[in-house]
Amino acid sequence: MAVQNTTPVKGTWSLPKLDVSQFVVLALLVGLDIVLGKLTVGTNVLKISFVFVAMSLIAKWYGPVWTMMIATILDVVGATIINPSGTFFLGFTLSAITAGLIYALFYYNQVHVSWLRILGAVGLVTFVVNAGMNTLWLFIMYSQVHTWDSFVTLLMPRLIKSIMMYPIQVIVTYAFLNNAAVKQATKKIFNK
Amino acid sequence: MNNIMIGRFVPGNSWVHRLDPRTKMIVTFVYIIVMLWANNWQTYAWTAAFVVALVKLTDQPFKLYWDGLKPIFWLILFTVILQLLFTPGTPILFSVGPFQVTVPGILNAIYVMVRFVLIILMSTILTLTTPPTSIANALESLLSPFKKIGVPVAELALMLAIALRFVPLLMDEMQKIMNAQKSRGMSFSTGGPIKRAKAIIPLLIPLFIGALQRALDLANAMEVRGFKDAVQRTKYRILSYQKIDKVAFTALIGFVIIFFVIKTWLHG
Repeated sequence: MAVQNTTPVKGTWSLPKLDVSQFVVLALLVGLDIVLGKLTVGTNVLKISFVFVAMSLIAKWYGPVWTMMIATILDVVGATIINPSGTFFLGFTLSAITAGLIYALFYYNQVHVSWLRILGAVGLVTFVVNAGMNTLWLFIMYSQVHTWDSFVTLLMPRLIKSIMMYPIQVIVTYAFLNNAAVKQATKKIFNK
Repeated sequence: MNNIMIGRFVPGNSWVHRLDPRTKMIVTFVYIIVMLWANNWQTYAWTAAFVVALVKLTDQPFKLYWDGLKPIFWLILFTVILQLLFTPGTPILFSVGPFQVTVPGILNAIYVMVRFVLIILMSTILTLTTPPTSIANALESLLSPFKKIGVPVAELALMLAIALRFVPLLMDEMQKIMNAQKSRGMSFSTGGPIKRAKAIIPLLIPLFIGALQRALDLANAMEVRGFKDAVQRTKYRILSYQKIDKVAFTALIGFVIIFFVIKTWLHG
């Protein structure tokens, strides 16, 4: 009975019980994540996606357990139904869970998320998860020749993209998570 | 942006439409997993034949499937070019600087493209013939064993159903906000990456506030109707497997067996 009229439990590793408003807001944030997946800005060389914004807010408000579960569902449903692109692979699901966990460990229950936390979380997700783990999955899935050189060939363009994306993601995350409207919403929905 | 396939359900009474959504999801997942083992033209031809047969059974015009492929055309092209230029091997057809176009590279590029297209076609079959709410119900039913380890399956399924239901509305809202910002002189397509990223904040905040307001309205509506717990929900349509689903599962088992027979005995 996870959905009840109660205030959230604050333990990091518990599954916070949600009241109806918190539950529906989480559902709408999942919807927002799907919609933001369709929004890219930038040039042909560097396309910027904003899916990390909704996931960051889910992590800040709902903690690691909900975030990891949502990340799992969104990855599986996203890769097969919402954005089918031939890349459904359990490795990517593991990446999505890891990214959700990292965001939640850095942002959960933070009224004001500091630059340091954002730099750390975005850095780990960008370089370890996106550039490292995801390149490894692509290497396993598509590369016919499994040598260190072919892995590096695949890694380099992804690493360069990650280096370019890092400051952008940090700035957008900081501006969004610490926006006055978001803080007001936190008070309204979570009484904190 | 409006090419999203969610909500693209086209009502019909085809053989595929009448299947239980769980059957369609299982077939889709098994197919995607089996595709990971395809590695020669015989296995690709067999998986292609299976999808083409299913497309035919949906009684939908091919244009709908083509619409599903168009949004990721560039992603497919990019991946194909990468495969073409970075797959080592012999014989080498020609070299341009550090890049080599090899026969294994061309074969690999074709296989990757076919894999992309087939998986997208298979997923499109599911979304064209199944309403999003049925997909969420099917997911709830299929994930029910995880309830035993404390996973709130009913809540996650309801959450997904609400999210999928609101995706088209949120898309429209995002388009409206973008147009409103553009009419006030905001540009999302000029300047460097950081300037463009900053320009997105005035889009994200109103979108978020709009979504939040909708969520709170919906929560009120649910509460006044007595909603307390996703677990206690009753359903208008109870899912149950029919004879047609047994036929589909038999066909799926046949497909998998023949796939591995082709993979093992025809190519090794």
